[in-house]
Amino acid sequence: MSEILKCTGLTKKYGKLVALDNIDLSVNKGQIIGLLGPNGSGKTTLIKLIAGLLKQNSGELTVDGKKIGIETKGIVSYLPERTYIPNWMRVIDIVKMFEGFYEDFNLEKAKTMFDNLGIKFNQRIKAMSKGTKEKLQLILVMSRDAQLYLLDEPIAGVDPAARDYILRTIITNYNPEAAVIISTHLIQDIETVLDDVIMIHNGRLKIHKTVDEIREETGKSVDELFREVFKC
Amino acid sequence: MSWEIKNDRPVYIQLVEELEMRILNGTYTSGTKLLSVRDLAGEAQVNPNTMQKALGELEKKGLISSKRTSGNYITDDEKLIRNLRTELAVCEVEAFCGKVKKLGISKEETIELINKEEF
Amino acid sequence: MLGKLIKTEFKASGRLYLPLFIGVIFFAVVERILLEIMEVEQVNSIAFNILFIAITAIFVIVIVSVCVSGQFISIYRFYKSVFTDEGYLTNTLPVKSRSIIISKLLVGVFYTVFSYIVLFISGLIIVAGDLLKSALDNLRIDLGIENTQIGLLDFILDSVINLKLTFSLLAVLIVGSLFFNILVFFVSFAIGNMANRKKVLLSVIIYIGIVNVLSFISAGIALFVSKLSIKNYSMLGVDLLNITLSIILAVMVVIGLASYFATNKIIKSRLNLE
Repeated sequence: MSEILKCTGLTKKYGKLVALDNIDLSVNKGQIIGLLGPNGSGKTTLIKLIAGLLKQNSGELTVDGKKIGIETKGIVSYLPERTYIPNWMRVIDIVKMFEGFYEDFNLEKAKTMFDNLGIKFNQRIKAMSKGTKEKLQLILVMSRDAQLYLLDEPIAGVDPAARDYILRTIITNYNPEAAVIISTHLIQDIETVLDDVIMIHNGRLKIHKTVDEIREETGKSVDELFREVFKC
Repeated sequence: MSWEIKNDRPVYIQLVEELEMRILNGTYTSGTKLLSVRDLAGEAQVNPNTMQKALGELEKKGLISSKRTSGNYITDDEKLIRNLRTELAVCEVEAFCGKVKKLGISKEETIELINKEEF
Repeated sequence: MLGKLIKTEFKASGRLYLPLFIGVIFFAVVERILLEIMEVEQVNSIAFNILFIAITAIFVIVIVSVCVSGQFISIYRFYKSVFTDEGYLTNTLPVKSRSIIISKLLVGVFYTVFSYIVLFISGLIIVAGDLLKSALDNLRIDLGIENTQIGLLDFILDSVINLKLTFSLLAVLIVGSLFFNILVFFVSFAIGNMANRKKVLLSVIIYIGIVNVLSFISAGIALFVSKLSIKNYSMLGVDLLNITLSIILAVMVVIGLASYFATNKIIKSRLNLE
């Protein structure tokens, strides 16, 4: 298995606040990784660094062996917590934008998923509910044949049916050449979907193990272990 | 038909058990093609790699055979299925008898109770 | 990719400009029709006058909004798509951050120029034909050249040729100031983005600050040049003007480039999306 993401001594500060502290991490292709940690632990900061929205203060960060830049942005597919599609657009406008800018955008894949959810090309973003916008965004992100997917809290605040749809989408789009990193604090819902679990706390890496290792070694689910590790 | 994954044990072991059960009780007909790893994983909402690992385990046991291009097939070896089924049943009966014995109930009484049970 | 960015920005901004442009032309046509009716029919009812005043008022409002919006819309687009939630999309596209700035700058300049053209056209609509002729005649009289051989056009051409350098400097200055102003706005909003609260307010304050510093610099230059002219009695007024214009142009280029690089640097490594 080859490496898609590598961090060495990765550190990010916001003024005096240390958001990520000397993180060493390696993720291989073909893996689905859960990035777990309580709010403010540094999950989003790590994801933003990989997506190229932030720059580290020190340490190395590479995607597919390359430093973060245009090339890595072309192979990283990022789903932020926020909905970012301009309100004045129709579905077709944002689809065309993705098709234009991302070489790996797979229109057929997008069409199939739109059909499944009853989203039409001429629908206006403005008229969509927050939930539909989030689904639209997930479809766009998952429709790219990217090498690294970064999904920041994709299941927070969605109903169980939507959660199932999102998980199924992630699983059925699984590609052994690509890795998926899902950040969440709702571990129970997704732990069976994961290969590895990365737990970070106060900007430090606490645990990086496979889900079954954790279950075998501790006899506990990842969720239970999480509650123990991060007990208040 | 739902997949219930419990929290306390490794996921892949639970998948092996569930798949085995489905093959032995005929939910998956012998000799037919199994869903793709991805679809199975999607159905069970588990990681495709984990599902692959579980299928590998079943392959070792000879319950499925993978054909390189066309996917996984359930064994058509009826005898193997029967034997495994009996083996599993024996295990369960042994465990059950052990528990009943602890309660101090005789074999005859137990059989009588079993006969009353709807099957 | 720059081409694609420009195309995207062109459409996104056009959506905001188009209604204004259509409004200007529409009201200019209406205004002209009303003027014609007044001229030809000699209508003079109160109702008609009220209508005329109302239409004129709206027309003026639309014109003013086009003048103001010219740059405002490009700033708004820049801020919205780079520093708000839309920034999550814009800043993760596989494009260089400088391409993002350049695309928005070029489109901004284009629409600003285009809005002036639209305003000019709307003016023509109102005065074209007899009205334009009489306006030109009036201008000739004002300039005291109505009876000379030289026509107005020749007069203008003459002065342009005589003051070649000054006019080219002025032309460069006018075009340059379009770029310059947008770039200063960009850097103001880029700096404002680094704050954690009241980003827009802060950006506006920074912009006003920069503009004020620049007017101080300009005043300083004027002072310097006027001192220079006192020392050199032989200097012509035209030379003085050219020197002043050149210095202003140089300052503008320096500040403009500095703004561009600073904006680029901030987008690259100091992005502060919520």
